[in-house]
Amino acid sequence: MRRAVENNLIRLLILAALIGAWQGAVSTGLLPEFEASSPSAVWNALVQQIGNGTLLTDIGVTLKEAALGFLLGIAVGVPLGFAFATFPRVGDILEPFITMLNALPRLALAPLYLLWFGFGSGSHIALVFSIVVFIMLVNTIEGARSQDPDIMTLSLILGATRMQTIRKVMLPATAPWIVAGMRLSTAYALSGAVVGEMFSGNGGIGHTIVAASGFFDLGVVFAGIVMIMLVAWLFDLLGKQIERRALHWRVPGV
Amino acid sequence: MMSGRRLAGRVFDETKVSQDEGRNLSDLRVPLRAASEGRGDAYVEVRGLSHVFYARDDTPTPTLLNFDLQIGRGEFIAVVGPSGCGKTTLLNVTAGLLVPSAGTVLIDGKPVSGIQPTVGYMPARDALLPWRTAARNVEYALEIKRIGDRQAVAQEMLRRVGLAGYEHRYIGELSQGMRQRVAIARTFATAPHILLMDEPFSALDAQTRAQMHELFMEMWETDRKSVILVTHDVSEAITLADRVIVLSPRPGTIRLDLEIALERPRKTRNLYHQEQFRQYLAQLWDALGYDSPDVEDLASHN
Repeated sequence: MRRAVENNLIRLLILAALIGAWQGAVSTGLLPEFEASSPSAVWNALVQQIGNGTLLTDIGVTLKEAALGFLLGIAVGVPLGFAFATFPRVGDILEPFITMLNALPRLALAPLYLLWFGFGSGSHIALVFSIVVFIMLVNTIEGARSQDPDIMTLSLILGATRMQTIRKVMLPATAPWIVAGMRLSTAYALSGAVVGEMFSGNGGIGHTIVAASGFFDLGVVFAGIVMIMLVAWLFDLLGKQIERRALHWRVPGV
Repeated sequence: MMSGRRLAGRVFDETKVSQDEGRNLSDLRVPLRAASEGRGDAYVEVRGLSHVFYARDDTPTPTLLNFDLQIGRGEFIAVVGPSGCGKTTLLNVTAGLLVPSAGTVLIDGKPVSGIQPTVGYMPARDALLPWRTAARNVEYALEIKRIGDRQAVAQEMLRRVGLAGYEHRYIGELSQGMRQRVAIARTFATAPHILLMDEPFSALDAQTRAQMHELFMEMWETDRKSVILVTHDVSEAITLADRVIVLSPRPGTIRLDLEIALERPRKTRNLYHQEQFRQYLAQLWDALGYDSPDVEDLASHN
């Protein structure tokens, strides 16, 4: 407990040192404020943008897109992963396609999605989905395949049906892999939504960053970046809590 | 990350169901004799069992050849022999997981086909579900078998293996020995008529293993069911079994069928002092031979 408090204090010190160095470098003229902005300018932009509500509206838009793409990706990726692991022949046939699609930089598809799904949120959600679905698919396949063969044999000899085996053995055994995939996906979902907004649409943090950099308003650009980092960090904390609850049976060190 | 072979999945392939259907034993060019007439009093009867695996290059590899064995009701049989001699094949056929190339196994006079509801199984490792507590692991077997009154049965079984008070611990919170106790409780909870054991104590340290032998015998002696125990451990075989079968290297045939006339109930701490025990040990080792079959294989290839 004391160690945790100490660590948090050290973290705050590191943050203060970084911000102080940044502010110092700009104030002494070591860095040009036009290119590097400054903590005080970012702070002013944050206060102003939060004050007039635009930043919160932007976060709302970005989060909605990220969340929808994320949930869709899980809803499709997890069952598909189980299907591939359960019917190995199907998985075997489709494996090269999955590998190729997964290797494709999905962000490069943003202009195509714009064409297919329109100028608004649809194309951003599609971008997030196309990233998350493969993370979930690959993690679920790996998890579903890493079953204890002794448990599988035991279940068979006990007379378990395929559905019972999936529900009582494979699903819980794969849960850690699915949760790990979800935690990894949150950061990618957020990035996907932001990049999508940079390409098209007229809302969201990505759009605001691009618009502000067009006016060389670096304070707003950094304010957007800071908000993305904060949201990603909060998501990670939330993910850790969910993981702890869902996988409470995991004993450290085992 | 995902090679084709691995994506082919090991999940349901682990069922070990024969992939060799449609193949023919004549590939082996060995004379097969018709299944022999067995003795009438056997509970489990293995008749003319032969099984051939096919290697990647389609080379047929016989694991068992014309194998016969009779096991009486309530008899405890141990099978020892070198790796690959067909011990696990024997278990898989008896459990109904594997369709043999030739021959049959009869349980109570009926030929085995498909999963047998009266068969219990104890694998090499404890095979417990880490996301369930000790009690819920025992209940798992009861759930699959659709046996009612699960909580009460699980609690009683855990009490019998000395785990009263540990019912609600997760598997990760238990020691190796305690986990093995849970596995034993789970095995006996469904009251199987035949117990198949595939080196169930091999992962344990010597001391824990001796404890588990005593516990297992205590549980088994309350209602003596037929057991086929496959093991590498010769002294384990003598400690537990009524009869020890020594198999030859592949294809496995019976080299020695040794009756173990040690008094029951047995206590491991007394057994090792007995002259009789040492004689059995020597006899079994002589039958097994001291050469490694793998090394022989290598030498004959060069």
